Amino acid sequence: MKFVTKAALAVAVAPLTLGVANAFAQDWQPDRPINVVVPWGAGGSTDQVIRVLTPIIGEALGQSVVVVNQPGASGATGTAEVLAAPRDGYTWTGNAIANNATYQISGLLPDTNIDDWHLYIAVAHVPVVGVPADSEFNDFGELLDAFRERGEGITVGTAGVTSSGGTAIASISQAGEFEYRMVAYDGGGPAATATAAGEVMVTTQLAAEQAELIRGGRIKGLAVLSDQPLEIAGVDPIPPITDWLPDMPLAPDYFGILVPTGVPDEVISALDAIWESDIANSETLLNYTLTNGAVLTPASGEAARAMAMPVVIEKACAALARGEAENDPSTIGIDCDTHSEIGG
Amino acid sequence: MSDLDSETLPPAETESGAMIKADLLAGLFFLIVGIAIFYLAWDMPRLETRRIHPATIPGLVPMLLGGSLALCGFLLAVRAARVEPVRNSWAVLGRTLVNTEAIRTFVLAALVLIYTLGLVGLVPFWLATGLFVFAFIMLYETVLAENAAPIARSVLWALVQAIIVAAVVTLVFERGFLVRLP
Amino acid sequence: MFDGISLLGAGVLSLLNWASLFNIAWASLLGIIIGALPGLTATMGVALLVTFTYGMPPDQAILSLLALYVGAIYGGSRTAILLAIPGTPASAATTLDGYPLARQGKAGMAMGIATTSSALGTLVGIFFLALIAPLLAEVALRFGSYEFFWLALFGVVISGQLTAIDNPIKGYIAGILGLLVAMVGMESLHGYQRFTFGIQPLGGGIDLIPAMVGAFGLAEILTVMKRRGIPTIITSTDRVIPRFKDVFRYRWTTIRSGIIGTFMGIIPGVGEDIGSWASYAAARRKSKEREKFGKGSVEGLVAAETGNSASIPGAMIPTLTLALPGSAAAAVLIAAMFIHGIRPGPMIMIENPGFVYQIVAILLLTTIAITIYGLSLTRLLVKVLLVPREKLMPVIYVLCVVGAFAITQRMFDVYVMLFFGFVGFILREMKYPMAPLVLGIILGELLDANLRRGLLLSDGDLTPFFVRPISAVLWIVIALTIAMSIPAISRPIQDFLAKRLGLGARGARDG
Repeated sequence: MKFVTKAALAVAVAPLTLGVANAFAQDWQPDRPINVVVPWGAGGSTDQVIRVLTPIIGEALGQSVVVVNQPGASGATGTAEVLAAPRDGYTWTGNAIANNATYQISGLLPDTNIDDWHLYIAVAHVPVVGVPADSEFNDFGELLDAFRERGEGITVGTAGVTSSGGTAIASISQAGEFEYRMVAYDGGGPAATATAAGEVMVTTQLAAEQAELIRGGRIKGLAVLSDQPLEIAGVDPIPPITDWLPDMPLAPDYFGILVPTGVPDEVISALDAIWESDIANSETLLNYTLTNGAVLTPASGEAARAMAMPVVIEKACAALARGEAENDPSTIGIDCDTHSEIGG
Repeated sequence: MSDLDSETLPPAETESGAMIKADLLAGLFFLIVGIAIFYLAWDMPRLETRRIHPATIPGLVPMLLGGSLALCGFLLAVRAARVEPVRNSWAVLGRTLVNTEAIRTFVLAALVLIYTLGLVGLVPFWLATGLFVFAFIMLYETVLAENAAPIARSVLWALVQAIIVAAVVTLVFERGFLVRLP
Repeated sequence: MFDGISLLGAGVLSLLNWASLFNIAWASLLGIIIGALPGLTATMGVALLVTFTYGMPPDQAILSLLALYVGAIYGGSRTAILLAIPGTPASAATTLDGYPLARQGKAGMAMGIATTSSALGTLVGIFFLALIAPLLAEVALRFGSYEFFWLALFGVVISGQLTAIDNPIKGYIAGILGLLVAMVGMESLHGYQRFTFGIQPLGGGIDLIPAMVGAFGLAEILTVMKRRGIPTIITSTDRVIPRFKDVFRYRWTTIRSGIIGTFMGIIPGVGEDIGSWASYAAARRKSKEREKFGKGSVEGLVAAETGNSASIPGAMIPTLTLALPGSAAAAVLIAAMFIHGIRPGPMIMIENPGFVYQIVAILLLTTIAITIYGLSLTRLLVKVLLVPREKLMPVIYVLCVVGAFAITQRMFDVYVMLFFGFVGFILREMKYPMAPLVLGIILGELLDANLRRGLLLSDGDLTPFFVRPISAVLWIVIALTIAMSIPAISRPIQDFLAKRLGLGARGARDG
């Protein structure tokens, strides 16, 4: 429960600190390396983003920022370590924001929600509906008809029920009103590989995880879960899913750094300043997004929270709809009847 | 030479009486553990509420493995029980737990446990490491050695090595590899 | 084929810079020293070095680990020849003829022949690696969940059978225990946490590297410190650099042992130890001077050392193309590759076609390095053998603790290391092989997820597991392997073969 009080305090002082961010920026001189726990394996989509971010932050702070991979239990293992670490500002985590916000729903971690973290969003990843190159489906419309007709006869490869791909197919099936058979793999990369090999008929993993295979002509991108077409360097734009399902709720998955609340204020103000200048204008980060089908969306504080909330709600309510919610989304302040935040 | 022999001689000759009895006990142990694992796996949720395919329940493979372990344990025990009894084999097995080699092993186990579970985390890492290295060298060069070196010499060199190891390991990992030692 | 040659050229060229050459130089020398020190095995060396390569760029890290691995397998021969103790388990067969040669005053010649044989063995293995890996990767693309399930099972069964010291049942038990360890934690299909008993860190499962550091580090320290006596070193002053005609005389033994070693390496989880035994047994069967074996036969020494070194490139074949470890040390290499963001597996030839050839190039340069060291640094390596274990082992244990801790920086992994150290020691004392245990930990997830995923894809139907062509080959081989370990079935077949072909069917162990 102590998290809640700390969180409430942090939210209360957030607007104040934001205003004077730049004045504090020089005040934090970390005297030892900072650890960023990535609760997923090396080489995965989360790991890649964070490893692009950390050198930029490290340079701005004049101190090394070290990535430590602690994979396991859908990221809960590493996240628990960060929550248990001293709140001295030297232990952060890097993850998809929606994961940290919903560990309580899946029952993987007790008593934790989005307000236990200071959010620093860097990029948005969007799921892409991809099929093998030799698939019978040539556009999303054909696939949608097949889904409605054959239901569980269509296999969908994802990285598991709680992954971005798992959430994506759950939302599409709700909007498109069909059944499907989900087949889980040990990560987004392996799910995409299995799709390219034709073991499953469809994948809904992130664009970044399919980008290489789409470029190589082994996967056809049928639709992107967005209202804008997706540009991936080297291939034709992928049409938005709203061309077929105009009312589909869209919630891009935001990735970035999360710092536990309760750390010294100067840590937060220093990071706020870095986010405003170094991250927002980073050439490397921009290149990363262009080659991987991602979007550069730097944001921190309240703005970041507002951006991330839709995907948090989607994820929490998708878990509830599938009967996977150990705790009701209302325990983290989400109302799934209206798909909105209680009192928000 | 005993080490070499156990690697190269045909199987039958290495099976001392003690090993046969050890196999019998281990076989029974694995039989029980296998059954226990099977039960735990059987008891795992079938996740019916999530309408998962019944052939994909989480307990499936653990059940198969628990069963296989029980079967192998059973076969091992039966095989050991059917071997011609060697005289005093239980006593031989008992003796392997109290001879000099066993004492050397138990002392090392104690050292390792005190260092890892007790000292690391309680005192700074360099101090814990220094103490461990020093105690290790002293014990094995004096008390447990067959022809012990002069104590004064052992103390001096053990001390020097303890300090060097503690300093080098701590510096290399904290400064060089940016690891936060416990 | 032409593609391959140009990629290989590119691979060698990419290593011709100071950083790479420097890393190969120190890592292979460190490997030789680790291999020469009794109680420090190749697997343990690779597992501990992972920590040190953590901050390196991925290619340099893999290069250092591989150079250390090759060096350590070679280094073990020194101890085998001079002390009659295998420096690593892979040189157990080397002791049989190496030590008698040393006692006849030919220690220098034995060390020289061991060096050239190791180098030639690695070259034979490298040839097959460059030839087979790209082809296998092509086939591996057609492997789906059904095939990976069988491969995982195949690995554990055959490793259990071939590495068991006295009884295949013990090998199987070790394999099953490893598979069970892999069951701990969250499974990927439904996200259910198995066997965690409410302990939070267990939800993430047991990491391979701390478990390996325990089973190969702490367990080995316990084994070494338990022994009382210290054997004496034989020194000699005869010529080390072998004459060309001595090497050329055993060309057929070298080629045959190289091929056997390579194929033992390819079989998942069956590495250089068995590679060396199998080559030795075959050489003895074929030899014209069979009676000399065990009493100082140069041919026996050639076979053992060629066989174990050829297994390393052989082991890299399934490691790179299927992400199935060909040996225990290769299992650590896979874990290290993942840490560095390299994903071995069927996609490797598509995502990173140069990588396989880079490995080939690394092995080539390392072979050159160990040949130079082996023929020149005789004195230094004898000195290494004089380091007392009382002074060495505490340092190794400190490295085990730090090594287990450093990768995820959790005390939990240190406890995992302790647990596997003690359990590994007890199992080892009771003659259970460690390789199937390790392989089980790596293959458990593969076996479990692919079995159930296959059932999900086929809607609960078992037929695809049996009728898909590659699957069919795999399950038939597994069934035969298990059948051969049951004496009631294997004995009549062996008798029959013995009568027909005039050979014993079981190799070295039959004496």
